[in-house]
Amino acid sequence: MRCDPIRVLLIEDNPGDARLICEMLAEVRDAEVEVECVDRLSAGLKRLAAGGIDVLLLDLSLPDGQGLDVCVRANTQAPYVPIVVLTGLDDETMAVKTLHMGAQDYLIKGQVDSRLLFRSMRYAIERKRMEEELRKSEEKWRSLVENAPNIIMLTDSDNIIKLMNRTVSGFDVKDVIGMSIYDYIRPEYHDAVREAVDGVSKTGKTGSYEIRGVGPDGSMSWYETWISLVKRDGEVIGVVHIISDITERKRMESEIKESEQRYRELFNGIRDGVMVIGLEGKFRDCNDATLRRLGYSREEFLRLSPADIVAPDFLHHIRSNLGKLRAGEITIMESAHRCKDGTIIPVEANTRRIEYKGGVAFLAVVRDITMRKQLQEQLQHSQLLVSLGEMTAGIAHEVNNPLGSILLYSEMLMQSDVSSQIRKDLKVIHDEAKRAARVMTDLLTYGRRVEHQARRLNVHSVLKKVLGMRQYGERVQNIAVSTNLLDGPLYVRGNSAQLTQVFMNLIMNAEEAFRESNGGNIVITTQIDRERAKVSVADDGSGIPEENLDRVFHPFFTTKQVGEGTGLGLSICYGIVTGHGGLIHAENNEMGGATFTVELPLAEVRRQRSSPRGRKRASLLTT
Amino acid sequence: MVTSSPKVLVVDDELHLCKILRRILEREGYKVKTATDGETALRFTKEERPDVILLDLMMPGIDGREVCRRVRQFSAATQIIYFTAKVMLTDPLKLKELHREADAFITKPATSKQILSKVSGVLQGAS
Repeated sequence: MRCDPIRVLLIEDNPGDARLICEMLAEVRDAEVEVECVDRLSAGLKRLAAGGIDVLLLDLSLPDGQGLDVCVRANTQAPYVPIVVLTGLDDETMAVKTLHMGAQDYLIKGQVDSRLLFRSMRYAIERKRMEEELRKSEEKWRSLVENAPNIIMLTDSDNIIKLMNRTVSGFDVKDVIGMSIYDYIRPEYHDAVREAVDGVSKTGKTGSYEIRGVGPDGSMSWYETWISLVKRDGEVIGVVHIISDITERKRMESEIKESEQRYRELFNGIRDGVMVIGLEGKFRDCNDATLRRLGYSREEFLRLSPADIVAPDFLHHIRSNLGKLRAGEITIMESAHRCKDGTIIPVEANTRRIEYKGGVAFLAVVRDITMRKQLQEQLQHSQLLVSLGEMTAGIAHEVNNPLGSILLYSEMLMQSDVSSQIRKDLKVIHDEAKRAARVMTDLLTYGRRVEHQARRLNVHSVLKKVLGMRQYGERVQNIAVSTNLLDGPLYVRGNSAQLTQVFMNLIMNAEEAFRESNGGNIVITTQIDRERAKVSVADDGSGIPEENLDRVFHPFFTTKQVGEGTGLGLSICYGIVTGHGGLIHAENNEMGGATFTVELPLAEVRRQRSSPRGRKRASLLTT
Repeated sequence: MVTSSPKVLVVDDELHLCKILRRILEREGYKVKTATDGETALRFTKEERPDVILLDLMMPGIDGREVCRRVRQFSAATQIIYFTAKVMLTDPLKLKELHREADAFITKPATSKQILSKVSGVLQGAS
């Protein structure tokens, strides 16, 4: 029970009634009641405006107001003060009307005693307070809904929109309410909405759908809607839709997607391999060039670590560089990578530390340096030849003089009176000196330069001359030579004698391949490839062991018996061909033998068909 | 057989070569003098007026080409054969020059037959 006194305002123009009521209230024992009494509505309204009144006892028949109007005016003046009408008029209709106008109770004078009046007042106060709380609560929720950044919509079980705080442009909230949600949303999204609503109904969980519609500025916008069931007493009565405008988010998403795609295109467009290695030592990402070069699929590659692809010899190099890399230094290192099929590729890796997905990782840009290595080797080889040439020139003079003496003395002795055995022995000395002289001649070929003697010449003529020279030897050795030459002349710039020497050497080498077998085949082919004349000499002999392929052009490399070859033939060919600005290389062919190919720059670019029909296949010699 | 016994001066810093060349040439009836350096060669040329000089190019002191240049100044009739190691022949430009200077050219090492044919060749050409 409240301790504060109940402050009552009585508006009653009849002094008798007023006194009677005051006496009744004075009899109240349960609470202290303070009564103020005025005899005019105007005075009452004034007092109400001043505040501090807990309950109003109101007569409806006043000098300045009559009936319902009194009740309305009092309620308007002080909506929070409960009103108990106390009137002489026993009119049930009027009673109901006053209750509608905000009065809490309707009492008839003469039928009221102290207890009834007090109880009515107390209930009126309490009811008013509860009403007020409800109103405040509703106001709070309404304000929340109305001020929410989202569109909030309530649909009933027949999909009729029952409530909506606001709507998109082109619609008015009051028009939308009562509409079916399927009249409100564009037809192409009906399935999505239906699916979401059905899902939510089945599972009872929240669901969502995305739709496009006209946005607040009239342009098309994207909306994301979260929905959940609305239940009363355990029964589903509708669905609440919380709709957010996600146009901006969508735009950003698509920008990020585009940017990601652009980055991917760049990343994968790089010819070098690019790899990201996590600190834990696993590959985290790589570009397409990496996968193409190493032959792995992306899934396979991302399961690997550098130790799986770096050739073992180089692993400790990488480990020793880890500290530098961690410290933020950039390292450039030559190493070798092993492909899935076992091939080893020489590479140069440029590695640095980067920020990656919120952590630290290493970025390696890996270049295939096969070509560079080959060029380096070729350069080293040519340098070797040059220095060998210079050295030989120096030695030649010193060696040729004593050789001259040996030749002449042995000849002199052979012509003198000696036994036939001694003459034979002297012949050996003489021949050996001649052989030594031949070695010197071969060696000196290095010192030669072609530019003074280069002129336009037909490679086909040179080949035919060489084949003519070898004809006899080949016939007796059971060797068949066939040619597969382009039609017409094939012009290069060069020295005829030197190129004769090259082709002679290659053909004699091919013949050499049949030394231990009874004959064989040699095929000589000419082609044009990228402004170069290509001449290949292929045999079906025993081929060249893989490990010797790189060495056959090195000076003094020979597989012949000691005394049979100087080991300089191919080396001289190499010197001559590179001196002509050309290339020479050896490989094993599908006939089981070896193919030597000489590439020389064309003297002029000829328009030539290189189709097989344009070729003339001729067998110069068959046995 | 040569009737007037032509005089040949052999110039080479290799003594062995001088000796054997003397024997080869003398056996064919030539009168032979040898020198192992350029200065001696020039002196002998002035004194003896040889018909042919077999002249090595690379020698210490006055080299073969200088000997040739000086001999040409006082004895136009003397035939000069350059007798040299092959190293000289690798440069085509130099080779042309050498051919212009000398009457004949022999590369080392050479057989006695090659040497004798060159010597008789220049003598016939000169007569």
